[in-house]
Amino acid sequence: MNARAMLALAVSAVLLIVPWLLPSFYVGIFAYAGIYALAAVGLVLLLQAGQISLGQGAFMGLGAYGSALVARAYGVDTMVTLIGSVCATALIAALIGFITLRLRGHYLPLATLAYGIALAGVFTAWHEVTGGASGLDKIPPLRLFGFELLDDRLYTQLIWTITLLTVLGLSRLRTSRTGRAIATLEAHDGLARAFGVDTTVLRVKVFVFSAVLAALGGALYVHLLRFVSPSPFALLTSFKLLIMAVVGGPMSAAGGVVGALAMEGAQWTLQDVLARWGLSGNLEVIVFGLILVVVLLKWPQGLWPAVERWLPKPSLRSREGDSLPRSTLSANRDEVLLRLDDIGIRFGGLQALKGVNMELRRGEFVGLIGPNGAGKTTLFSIISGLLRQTTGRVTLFGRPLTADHTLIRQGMARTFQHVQLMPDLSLIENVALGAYCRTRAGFIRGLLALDGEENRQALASARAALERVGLAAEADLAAGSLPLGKQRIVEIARALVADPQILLLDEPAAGLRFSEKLTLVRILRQLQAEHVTILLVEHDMELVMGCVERLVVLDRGRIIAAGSPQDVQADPAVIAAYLGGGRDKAA
Amino acid sequence: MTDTVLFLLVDGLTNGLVYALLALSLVLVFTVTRVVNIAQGEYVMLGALTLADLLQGRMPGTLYLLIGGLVLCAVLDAGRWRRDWRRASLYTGGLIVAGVAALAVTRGALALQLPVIGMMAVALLLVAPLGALIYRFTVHPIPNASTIVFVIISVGVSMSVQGLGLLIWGANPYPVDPIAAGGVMMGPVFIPYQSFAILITALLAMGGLYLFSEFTLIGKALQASAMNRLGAQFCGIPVNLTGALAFLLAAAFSAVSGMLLAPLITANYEMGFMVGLKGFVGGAMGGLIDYPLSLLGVMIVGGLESTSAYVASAYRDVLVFSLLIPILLWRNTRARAEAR
Repeated sequence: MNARAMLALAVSAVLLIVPWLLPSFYVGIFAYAGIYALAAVGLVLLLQAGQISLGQGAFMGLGAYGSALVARAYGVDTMVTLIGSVCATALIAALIGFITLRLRGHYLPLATLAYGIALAGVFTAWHEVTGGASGLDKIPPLRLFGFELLDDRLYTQLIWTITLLTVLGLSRLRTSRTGRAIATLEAHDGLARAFGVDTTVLRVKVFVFSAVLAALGGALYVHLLRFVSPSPFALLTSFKLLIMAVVGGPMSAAGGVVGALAMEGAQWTLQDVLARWGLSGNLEVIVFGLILVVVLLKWPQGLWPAVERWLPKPSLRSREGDSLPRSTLSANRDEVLLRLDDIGIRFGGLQALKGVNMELRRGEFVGLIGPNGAGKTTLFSIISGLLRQTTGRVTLFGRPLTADHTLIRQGMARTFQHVQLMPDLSLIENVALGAYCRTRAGFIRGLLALDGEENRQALASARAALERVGLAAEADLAAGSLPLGKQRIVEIARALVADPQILLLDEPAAGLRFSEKLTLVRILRQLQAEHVTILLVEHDMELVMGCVERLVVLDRGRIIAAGSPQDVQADPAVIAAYLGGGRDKAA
Repeated sequence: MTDTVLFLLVDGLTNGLVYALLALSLVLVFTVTRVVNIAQGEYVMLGALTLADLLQGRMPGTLYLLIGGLVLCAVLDAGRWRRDWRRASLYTGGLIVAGVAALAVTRGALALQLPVIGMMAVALLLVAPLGALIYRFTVHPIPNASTIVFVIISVGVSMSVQGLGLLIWGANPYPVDPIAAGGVMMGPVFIPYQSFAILITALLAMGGLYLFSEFTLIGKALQASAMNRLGAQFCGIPVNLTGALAFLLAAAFSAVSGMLLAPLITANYEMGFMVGLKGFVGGAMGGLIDYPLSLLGVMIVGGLESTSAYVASAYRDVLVFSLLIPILLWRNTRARAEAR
């Protein structure tokens, strides 16, 4: 056990003992802090995935009302109603998530705000059932396996136990297969899909999980207070949870706890001070709003990085053991793997590609060149399923192209012209994303740390890939700290972990130093010897001419030449395209 | 039956026009600065309560907010003194003059006991600059932040401003005089003059904004910043000034809508937030970028609101906000179709 785990254990022990030391008035406050922390932790996970919710309070309310109303009206055991209402909220969240998470940019926060208000409105409006604004009392207490939990201190311990276990689970999730995929969601949708992540489904899962935590918090709240009314689940609560998540910072689940404790502490201190000045009402919201604005302006990562600086380093997950098996590819050079028929695409008035026909046979090393703006990257996007062509057909392994996130499973991996790495994650974590399509552990297994063996294999493969490209020494550095050239090499390592049959490389040599280019050429030759099929877009002619067997030249969206490097070099149309010449005048 | 329908129609139209001014503000702010401003409704509250104070002969608390904001602005820009003391003294002098002018105008208006229209102009003078100040404090420091960061910041602004409203005016509602009391019977329906005032103001605001952005250089600078911020910057347009101007104009439109709305309901510190959000529901119809579609959206919101107030009043807000989700989905499929 390393120092960090011991510290975490010690802090947890303190948090669990605290309820027995506090005067009874403060026990309640501490319990609520635990509940808010639980919901805030879920919101932190959402923020990590680049999502936002201004309606978490409503999910707390669903959990609370669901459990309280059923238990009160039908006398059902409260443990059953609690679990049932959390499950019901999960279903509702899945439905809402499925509808709204396809929204992008500014629509998503508005949508969460809207259903947050609408659901909270129902709690007040449906007064025959919910008791309206004045609420309902006589809510039964929580029963755990027949034991009635009436002692507030014990209850508070239960709340904090759940919260701390959730934090533990989420910090495990962060370094799991699913966690690596979640980290890509914020900025790199195309990357995630290119490596086999079904981003829509993953977004919904993250959303549902955060709603479950909120609902669980709400249900625990209502059986602690034994009274249910709409106001604790109104918009202000959603906002407060957001402040807690932002103040704690999206870096770590523990940030949610730090944020919740900080904000609850601030709230009670402020209310105390304001009452002494003879001021009443929710005046502390002035300060809350200011805190939110100032934190985002000055410390967008929240308080957690400041806390973490003083903590010992976390232990790295084991990467010992065997790599994932690598497939041996056949040497049958006649097999056509990828075929483009009459590909064309229009962007508004711009015909970016027209009538592109091309074939890629097994084991071939083909270079795709052309002046800037010729349509090379667009063609790459079509082949990797990120763009849909206007006309024509793409055939991969003899079948029509399927959805973008399934291509890597069929054996086609790619790198990106604009490097897409998660700058805060270590190289090995970045590279391990390549193993996503070859491993299976999902959200729950990552959360419960049941993915040990598989995760070891994925990390071992990532380390082997880094060794292969000569970056083993830097494996634990943050990807963002590397120079651009090395970042490109990392991208290749990541693609290799996916064990591809076809490798698409989009300008891998741009920004590389001479020695790095030599490494690149060495890797490419080695891959060729292993019968990996490579399609390379590159501007470095020396590198291209020295490596490839066949060249295809694109200009203004059309193929103007194809053949061996020597033939293409001598082709007058190619020379004209690169240097300008007669053709322009003729046109 | 027809009476009821007519009444609901007029009511819905009046509401819709109030939200239209809000939607106008939201679209203006969003297109120029890419900020989804959750706090836009708070200017409605500030406008209404400032007018209430002025009409009852009190010094409005907004004046202190404004002066406080100007002081904070001077403090935050203290770094200017090191770079160029001439311009810094000019700038600080400008802030002081603005503060003194606001004080003098308010005192003068209170002494003269201006009619409602005059007081509205004074209130506008006090509230609109707050928009520019909030831009200076919250958007200007982080021009390249993501949409989500700006949304969260505007939530913070909304909470703080609403809290300040509570601190200044307390929780009590304030009655506000309409521009003209009374109304006319049009057929079977009674229409208050205030509804006409709202109609005329909304039309003037929309027409004014159109003329301003089409036929003045500053208006074109606003449009340019709306289309491409970076490009506008390269063309020498001071995008920070256009951003501040968009916030200022938006604050003005919202404040006016608050002053017009207040006589129909009553003014209190909470009134703005919901009005702002309903402006959003309407504005979302136009994707926050399209003025005419936003106008259609707010009319649907206004109509739905008055109908549901009649049919199922408790569920009024529930229905209005549920409407946002189908609207957003429709927008989203449209956006995707355009992307293809």
